[in-house]
Amino acid sequence: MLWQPETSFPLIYGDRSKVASLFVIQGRDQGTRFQLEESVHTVGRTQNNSVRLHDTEVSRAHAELLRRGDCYVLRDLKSSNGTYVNGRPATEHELVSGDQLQFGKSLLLYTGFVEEAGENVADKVDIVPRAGSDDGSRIVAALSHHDGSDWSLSDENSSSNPWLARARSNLQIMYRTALAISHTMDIDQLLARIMDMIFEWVDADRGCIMLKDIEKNKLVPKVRRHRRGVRTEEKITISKTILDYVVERNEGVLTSNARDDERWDPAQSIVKLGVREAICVPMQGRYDVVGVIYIDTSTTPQRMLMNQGTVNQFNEEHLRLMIAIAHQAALAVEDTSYYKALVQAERLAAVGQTIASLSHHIKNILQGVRGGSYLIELGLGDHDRMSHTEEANEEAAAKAVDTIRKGWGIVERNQERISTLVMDMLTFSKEREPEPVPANLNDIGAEVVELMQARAEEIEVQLTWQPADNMPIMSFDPEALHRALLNVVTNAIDACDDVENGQVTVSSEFDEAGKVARLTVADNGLGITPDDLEAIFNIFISRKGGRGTGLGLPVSRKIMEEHGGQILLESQPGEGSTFTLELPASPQQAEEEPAQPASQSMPSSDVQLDAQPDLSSH
Amino acid sequence: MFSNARILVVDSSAESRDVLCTLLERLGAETIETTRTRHASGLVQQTQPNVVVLDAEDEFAPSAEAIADLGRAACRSSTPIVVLGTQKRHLSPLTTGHFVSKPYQYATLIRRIEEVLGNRA
Repeated sequence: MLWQPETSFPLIYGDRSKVASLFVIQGRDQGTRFQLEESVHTVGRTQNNSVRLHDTEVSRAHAELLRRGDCYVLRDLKSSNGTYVNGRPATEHELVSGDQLQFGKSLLLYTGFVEEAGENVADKVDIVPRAGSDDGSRIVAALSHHDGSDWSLSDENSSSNPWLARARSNLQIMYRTALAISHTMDIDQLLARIMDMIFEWVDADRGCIMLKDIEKNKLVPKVRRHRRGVRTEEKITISKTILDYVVERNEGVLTSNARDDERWDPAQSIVKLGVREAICVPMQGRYDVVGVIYIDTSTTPQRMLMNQGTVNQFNEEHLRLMIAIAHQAALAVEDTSYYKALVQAERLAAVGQTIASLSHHIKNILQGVRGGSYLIELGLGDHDRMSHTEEANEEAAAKAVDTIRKGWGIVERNQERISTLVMDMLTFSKEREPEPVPANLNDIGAEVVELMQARAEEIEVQLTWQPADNMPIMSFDPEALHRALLNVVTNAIDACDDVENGQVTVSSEFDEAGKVARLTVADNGLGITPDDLEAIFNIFISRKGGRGTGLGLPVSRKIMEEHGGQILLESQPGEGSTFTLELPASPQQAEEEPAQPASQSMPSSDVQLDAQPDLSSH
Repeated sequence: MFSNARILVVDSSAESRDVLCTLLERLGAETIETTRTRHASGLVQQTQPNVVVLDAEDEFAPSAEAIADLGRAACRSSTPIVVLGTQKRHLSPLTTGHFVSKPYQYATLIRRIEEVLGNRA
């Protein structure tokens, strides 16, 4: 089976979808992810808890999560401040994915196990080659995504039915709102877009969106808008009473400071500033109010006079529309918050994994250096003792030198290991351009095989090299290709450790028809399971236990891709694997053209730094 | 203390085994080596070592079962185990082991082995 890995470098650490988790989305531990794998997990602020929250309002033993089948049940352990699920106090609660758990000031999102499919849907759906060929169906209408969202097209019904016209208009607003906010994952952008939409559809003069800050327990303005022509330096003053009403009752309100008094005298109103109307609606999400949207408008005295009375620019229909928009906005805000928390958790997990993995490898290398240096110290000690005795003891002297030599060999090998680790890290982390020079892939193959021969013999693996006869000179970065091949060959040899008659064959091939050169590394080791075929190219995922750094194959793939090539993989568990490093061939013309003598190189005074080089001459 | 002592070294790293065995042999001990924890319990029964030195952060991540087998075999013959590496002692299945954190100084490790041999004597 020939398998080509994808070119992306996803940071995947196993199949997370099958593990329940708690993500901290608010609080001091924001971004932390707790995997739920045990039958019992305790939640508290002390370190003996598996879900430890650094929150002074969390009890030492606050709650516990008990596994029951495919879900967890949350039980409060008589905590001081209580446990809340989706904003409601809970003593015992069976959790479902998406539930928000609050302990003290910390808010956590629970994601459960993947639900198993109740039926095999594939058996119930049949895709036939040609629609219409059997039952006579044919396509009678087709509409693009863009056209499908345009509800402004008039039709004969709407012109005679104002209600229908309004309904169509409102539907279009909702549809466009949903579209507009569906692609945005950044909260600030999202809120700005919502405000733009509102100003497009409603004749408001000013508007603002405020989101709840749970830690400070208050509404914080996030976006403010003014219609053109409206004075922007003027502060938007909103009654706290109205805000509290809206949030606590979860009701939208339409307010006006116009007098409803029938004895309202337009003449008197001239000296007043006019009438200000406002709509304030809650942003109701899945579980809770996440904020409010406020818009207002003012009618000038002149306009009132022209219209001979109160002019209501906002009415109940506007209020209904705003409530619907606010709900959509709230769902989108919740999604961006969760996404942000998930991304943060992923990043923290990735950083944590990186640090843990690197620490482990460096610790092992350090242990090796300590061992080697201790032997050198012992050997030098033996040598010093002998130099102070009267009788020369050749055997003892030789033994001392052997000990020193052994120790030095160990130190040297570990120096090489730390160098390899650092170079792999640098290679992986940097976007570097290869530095191609004319070179022969066969030389690279021979060097790597010679370098790895000692290692192969140590674990009784037969390492052979089969170069192609027709390999031309090509243009590539020899150091990079050396590293790429070395990583693959090292893995192949390690895969044969503990395998009887372990064999690794490195070969090269030049495909003239396909214009591609290949270095192939084939082993008869343990092989790679289908699940791991892509995972092994992810960083810090090693199937070599603690021995592998998890950087080798990702680095090799990166190097090949930087050269415009790729790594292909075939493997059968229990039989072995074949890695093929493919390099696009551009046989170097330098072989045909004579090199320029040094005396003919252009002196620096001839170089015009401020002019573009004439590339047409090359 | 090391004269005539028989020490079983369980470590998949050839380098680590080489260094430790060289040091122990210089002190007069007899060493037996194995790369795999799963072979160690059998070796304990066969060779009756005076102490076992086990790398718990082994490159090949010994299974809990292999470690438990070794623990039982060592218990039956009253063979102490010096465990290298694990920080989470309370999670180690070898609750009666003597722990040396990695990275360790070899002088410290030798002293610990000497103490264990001394206690046994």
